[in-house]
Amino acid sequence: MLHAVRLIVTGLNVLNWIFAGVFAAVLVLTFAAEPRIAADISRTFPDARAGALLRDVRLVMAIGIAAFFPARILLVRLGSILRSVETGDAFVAENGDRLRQMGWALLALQILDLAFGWIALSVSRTTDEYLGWSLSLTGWLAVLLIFVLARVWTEGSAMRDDLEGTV
Amino acid sequence: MPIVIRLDDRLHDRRLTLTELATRVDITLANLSILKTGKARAIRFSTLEALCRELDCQPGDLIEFLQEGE
Repeated sequence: MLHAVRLIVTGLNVLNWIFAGVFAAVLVLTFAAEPRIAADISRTFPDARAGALLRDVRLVMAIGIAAFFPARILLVRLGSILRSVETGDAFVAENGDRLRQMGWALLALQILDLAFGWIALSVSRTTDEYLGWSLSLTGWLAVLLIFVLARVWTEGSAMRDDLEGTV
Repeated sequence: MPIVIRLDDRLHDRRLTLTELATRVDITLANLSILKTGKARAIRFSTLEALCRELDCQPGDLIEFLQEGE
């Protein structure tokens, strides 16, 4: 099962790079082909200000690019934890540190999600289209859980170190 | 380390090898060697009890505290 999980994490890492590339490409395109894109927006949403919508699209792409970095931290640290489990020595202080870093990365993703939500609401108001964003309480709970787990891991590995050398 | 374990004299008095003692107190020879060479960080009461039983001595006969500088 560990092997399958590692494959999934590797796949997600690859997807993370791909999405970041797509977001970057689209962002560049909004500048390179601005007149054409603005014209398309005006045709599709005649009541909306094309400039404001184009700005929102760029912001969403920028958020997508920004999300690449905490997502990468999350996936790389998870991979390291999985490797430590495979070597049979998972309960070490380093994994507590990794979990803490993952907590911060997850928090960053949640904040970026809030930013995306704010833009989505703005676009929805402008275009009367529902972009499908909703506040994810599960995500915020996951941030809390991961910080608690990091603390448990740190304390547990300290207790284990204490026991080492006990006869 | 200020705490010193004195096993050699007791082993000699009881005519026991370290291997035999390890079997009798039910800890591994590796752990008993760690204890004997002063590399142990802690000892369980159960281990101390077994050592005292097999070596027919008191805990104070096995464990000595040295002040800094001794």
